[in-house]
Order: sequence, then structure tokens, then C-alpha cells
Amino acid sequence: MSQGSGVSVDPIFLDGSDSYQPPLPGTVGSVLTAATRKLPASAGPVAELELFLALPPVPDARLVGLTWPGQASAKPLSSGAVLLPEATVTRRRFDSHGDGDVLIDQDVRLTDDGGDLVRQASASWCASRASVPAPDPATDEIASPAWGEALAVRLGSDPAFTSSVSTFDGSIGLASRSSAGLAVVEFRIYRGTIIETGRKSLDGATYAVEADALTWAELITGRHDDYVRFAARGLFTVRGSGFQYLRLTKTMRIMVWHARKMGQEARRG
Amino acid sequence: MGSADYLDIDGRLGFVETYGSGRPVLCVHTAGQHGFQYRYAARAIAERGFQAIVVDLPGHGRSEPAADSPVSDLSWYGDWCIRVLRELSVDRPYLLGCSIGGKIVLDIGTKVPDELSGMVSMAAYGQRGSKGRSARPWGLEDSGSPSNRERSFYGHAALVGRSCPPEVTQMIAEMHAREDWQITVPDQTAWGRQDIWDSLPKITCPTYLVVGEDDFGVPVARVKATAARIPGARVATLPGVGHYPMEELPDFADRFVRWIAELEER
Repeated sequence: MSQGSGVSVDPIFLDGSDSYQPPLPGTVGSVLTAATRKLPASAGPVAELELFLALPPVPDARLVGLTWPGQASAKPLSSGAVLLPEATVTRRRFDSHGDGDVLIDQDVRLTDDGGDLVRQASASWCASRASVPAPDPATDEIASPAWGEALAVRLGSDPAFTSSVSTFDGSIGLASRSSAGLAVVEFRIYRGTIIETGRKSLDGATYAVEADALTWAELITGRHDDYVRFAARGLFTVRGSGFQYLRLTKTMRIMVWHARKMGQEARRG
Repeated sequence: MGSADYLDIDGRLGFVETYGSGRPVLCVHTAGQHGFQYRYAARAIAERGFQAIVVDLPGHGRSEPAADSPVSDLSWYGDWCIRVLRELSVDRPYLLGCSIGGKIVLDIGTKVPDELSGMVSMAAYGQRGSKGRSARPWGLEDSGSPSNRERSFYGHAALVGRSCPPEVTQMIAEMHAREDWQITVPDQTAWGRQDIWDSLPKITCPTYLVVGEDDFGVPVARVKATAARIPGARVATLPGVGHYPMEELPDFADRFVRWIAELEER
């Protein structure tokens, strides 16, 4: 007998990694990497800035914003330092008509030759609609009300989810931090039913699970469901009732599972 | 077929299974768990010329709780294992442990290195845990620690390596979900507290440290730093493997035999 034979596998362990399809270039979760660059002798902010801007998400993108957090605690970069720029798309915002320019947010990281992160910035780009892959409501604006409504439809039809919240009366929030601010969606739940989804419930969230936009993008579009690993690293934080968050452990796992599944199905068409 | 017995140690019964009749190997489980974790590996190790001796630590599995339970000191468990070996008159055993079991065999190695043939310590290191975890009395209260079962289920599933089949991952998670928190929480406290850094050079028996690259709870760098303080210690890093090599790897026994052969070449 082999280990685990005959076991009916909980869908939560079928994270889609065996049939994984990575995000299309230019969509949320897609990663661009440049060749390593050696900082010139005149290393300074300008040289670092050039590295941050080395990886536009699509060829015709124009830079419209750059958030470059204070690096006071970071070690200074010396001339000759070898750095690897890497950029991940974290959000795409299409205009309501779908035919205007597209706003694309990127998280840009510079790592040294030892693999350590030494600089990080958020860049916003504007690109023509024609140069950008088609909208993907499952990943374009994670933690937005529209994204939440699509997720709520799936959750509402999953008996595992409704059962897990059958004794809950409150609101669960999911929040994503970025240079554009805090995107939040709240799910108002009563006795197993999501009765409202929106930016804010009347009494506010019982608890809200928050992470930066890069963490959400990697969680929702990555090969593996890394929620627990990310949480263990402190990448997710909880505001509000930590007790209720722990009580609804299974609920959170199911929500992440469906959010990832929603993205995977969209990518497979 | 294996055999099983209860040993009376200080008035409390401890459960021990034995498989095979070759060179003895004491097998020690992870936090909150019991000898079940070696249910496949022990037989396979025995078939390869060893006598696998699988213990349930006090309060775990089929062993009675310690008189002074809860135990939150891995050194106490190390002393208990030494008592088991002496009760069974085991001569120069190998030690095999994982997680707290890995730390327990390191502890034993610092105390009686001359009585050992060698050891394989998995998913363990010799420093305090990353948070230097102190006692968490609220963790022993149901009111302070909701959904323990689900948290254990999903939390331990995430510790399993990515090359492990989902049905095996689920089994590992289900067995963790069945734990008694009055035992598991003190085990975790003990894991965080143990600090045998200064004693590691006393481990003079051949030693192999094994760590899964997917085990996010045990940084490879810490394991290598531990090995650097143990004379002649070797390190094996396992791609795609997490916190439970003896359950995750279908060829675990063959790997164990190779590790022992390498130690004996020393």
C-alpha cells in the first residue's frame, strides 16, 4: 500500500500547480527581469532611477508616476555594485469604456548579486489600449469592489464556504496597499450568506486582511497557493478582530483558493 | 511484522514499537505527533538491515503523559529517550529525529556521544527558534486559541514540500489536526526555547543534518551554521521536500541507508 492511497483529496490541496499557466506578459503577476547591471562610477540616485525604469510593462508605456520610498535605512550602493532589476505588474486600470489608455502599476525591485533586496519602488505607466492584453477582471484590480463581487458569486455557490461562515455575523475585508492608496473590498456575511459586497460595509469590517499589492499579485497569480507561507513571513496583517480571523481560518483559505481559481480559469479561457 | 511494548519509566508508561533486528535506530517524531510518522519508513529501514525503534514521547500517541506534564523542555525528552535506550539495552544506536525529534537527537548527542553510532537530525538546528518563543499560556486555553484544528490542518500542510503528492500532504495535515493542544503548544514552546549552541561541539559521533528546501520553518542557513559547530557533520538539502522527509519521500529508507553509509566512511 502506498502512502495516502484511497484518500479523497480536499480541493484545497489541488492548487492548480500541476496545470499552471503563468500570467500573460503585461498582465497582473507577470514578471520582467533585465540583465544584471553594474552601477557606474557615478553611482547615485540617477543611476538607481534608470534601473527602476528599465522595464516598462509594454513597449510603448509612458511613465506617469514613481514612488520611491525613503531609503534612509538602506545601505548605500557603491559604484560597481551588480544589481538585478525585476518588475512585477500589480494592477491594471482600464477606463470605463475600455478603449482609452491603460494605467499599469508595477513593483520594481533591485537585488544584489547575493540575492538580497536592496531597493524597491512602485512605478505607474500609461499605455495605449492596443498595446495591452485584454482586460482580466479576475486579476486586474485585486481587492476592488468589482473583483470582490466576482469572487462573492463563486463563494456563494460553494457549500464549503457557506458552511464555514454559517455561524458568522460580520464583515470580512480584503485590502491591498499600493502607491495608489488602499484598495479594500468587504464582504458582509450573515449566517452563511454574503448579503453585500462593496468598498465598505455599514459597521466596517469585523477584520480585514491586508498586504501590499505585490504580495496579492503573487498570491493570486503564482503557481502555488502560498497564503500560509506569506502570512508566516508577516506579509499579511490583520486589522480588527484577530480572534474572528483565527476562528475563520478555513474561510480565508477557501477565499484565497477561489480567488486563485478565478484567475486560473480566466487565463485558460 | 513489528512488535510493541509499554515501558514503565518513572511510573508512566511509554509506548515503543520495534521493527527488524539489525543495527538499532531510535526514531523520534515531530511536535504533537507520534510514531505514526514512521509507519512506512520504519518497516522499510528494517528491511534494509536495521532495527527501527519508534517511540511515542510522553503525552504523545499511546504514551502516558509525563508526571510533570506539560513538558516544554526538549532536554527532558532527550533524557527520556536515553532512559528508553537503556531500558531496552540498546547498544550503540543510531538516532533519527525530525523537527523537535531532530532537536532531541542533537540534545542526546551532546550528552552521550560516545554511546552512539551516529545520528541523522532532520528539520532542526541548534539555536533558539527565530522568535525565541517564550511560554504562551493563552495557547493552552480554548478561549484564547480558536480553530486550533483548522489552523493546524492548513498550517502544517503548508510545511510539506511541493513535490509531495496532495493525498500525502492531506494525510500529514489530518494527523496534525488530531493533536492535543496541551501537548503540541508546549512542544512548540520547547522548540523555540532550546539553545544547545554552545554544546554542539560535544557531538563527536558521526552526524548528518537533513533539511528540506521547501521547509519555510527551518532556514537552510541555520542548519548549515549548526553543522559547522559539530565536528565532521554533513548536510543534505532536499529539493522539493518540506518539514517531513520520512513521510514525504517514498524512497526515504534508501536515502537513510546512504546517509549512514556516508557517515561510516568518515
